[in-house]
Amino acid sequence: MEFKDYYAVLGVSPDADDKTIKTAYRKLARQYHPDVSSHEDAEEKFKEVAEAYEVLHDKNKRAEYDEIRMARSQRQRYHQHGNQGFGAGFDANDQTNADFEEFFSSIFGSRSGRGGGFYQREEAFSRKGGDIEIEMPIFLEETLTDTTKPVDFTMRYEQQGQLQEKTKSLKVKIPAGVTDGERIRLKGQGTPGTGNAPNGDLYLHIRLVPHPLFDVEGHNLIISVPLAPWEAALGKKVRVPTLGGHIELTIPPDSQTGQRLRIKGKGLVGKHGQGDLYAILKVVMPPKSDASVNALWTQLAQQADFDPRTEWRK
Amino acid sequence: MSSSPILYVNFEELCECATITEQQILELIDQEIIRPTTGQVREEWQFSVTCISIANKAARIHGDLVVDWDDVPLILNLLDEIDTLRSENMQLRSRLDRFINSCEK
Repeated sequence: MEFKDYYAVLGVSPDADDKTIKTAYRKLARQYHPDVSSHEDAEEKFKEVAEAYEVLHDKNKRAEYDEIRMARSQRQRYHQHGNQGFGAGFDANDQTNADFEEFFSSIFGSRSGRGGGFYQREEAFSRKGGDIEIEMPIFLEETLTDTTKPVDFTMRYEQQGQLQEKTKSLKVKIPAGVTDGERIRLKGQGTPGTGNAPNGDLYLHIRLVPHPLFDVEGHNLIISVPLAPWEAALGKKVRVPTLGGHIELTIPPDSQTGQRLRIKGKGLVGKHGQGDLYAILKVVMPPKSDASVNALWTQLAQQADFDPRTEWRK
Repeated sequence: MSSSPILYVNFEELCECATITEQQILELIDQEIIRPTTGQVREEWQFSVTCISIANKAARIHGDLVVDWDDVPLILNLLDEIDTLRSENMQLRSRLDRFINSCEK
């Protein structure tokens, strides 16, 4: 097992005082705490930092750790002088990626956790099981009506000192109108409680899957409608996709790029009624024009009295 | 307003599920960090399940980040604002892409 240098983890010297240790911890926690960090390995990094702080800010644990640390450095000195076989304990050959928690529990037993901290507490008597939160991707179409979705997950928890692993498969009814970021609570579907305490809960964190055609704005949907220049000029009935099939949309003559047309009631299901679909017009040029079309553009250029850059002349 | 038990909890359940004290939850309600979705008086309050996550986040910020409890609402407010801005930014980027990407080809 790798020996963890908690002082190095916090970047402080072994004779650092409490204040220095706290300051170093707070700085690293700000940097790596998953609630405030977008760092890639935030959670893993924070675990290391939190573990180091848990030991070093507690007078008794720090003293115990210092003793082990001291013994280890003495043992390393013996090794250097060719004395083999000094008492078993920690492997002097540091391994990378060894498990911090394993090291911690080898000294201090199971992690006790700080009140309301990032980790679950593990105590012997009656205690509610752990909560589990998983992300639940939902397609926009699925939010229109109540939908039943399969939820499969594996939970790991400690029971009577043994690490248990259990896979669960549930069918969950997702109510119509759920929104991105909303959470669903399934009472008692988390890890088992100890003693007479209840199980933890399962939380499903709803994530709306980005749609290839529609953007979401609250309970409204937005679709961009490409138009040929003459369609924008003359007006046109266009077949527009909605989440529940196509509709005919009338584009009025002299329409502009960026113009929004509201299609009432074709948005998402809201808690206070149905949202709308907004069609945003986008005039698109044909990629190439042949000689006859070019002749028509030339005729238009000569006859149309239009300066698109009047703004620049103000 | 529906009060589906998988989407909403009452005050008592909120206190049971969250890792902070009842008093701390009341403080977060006073500070409007947690808002009841419906109900005028405590017995009628209904909270979205997300309020449990907010209360637990408050506990982590207080415990893990060693922040004074009085400063927690400000941090939650700012984190919420960052989340809102990030998701707004993502939405606007996606809309902008639909609008201009074909022009850049």
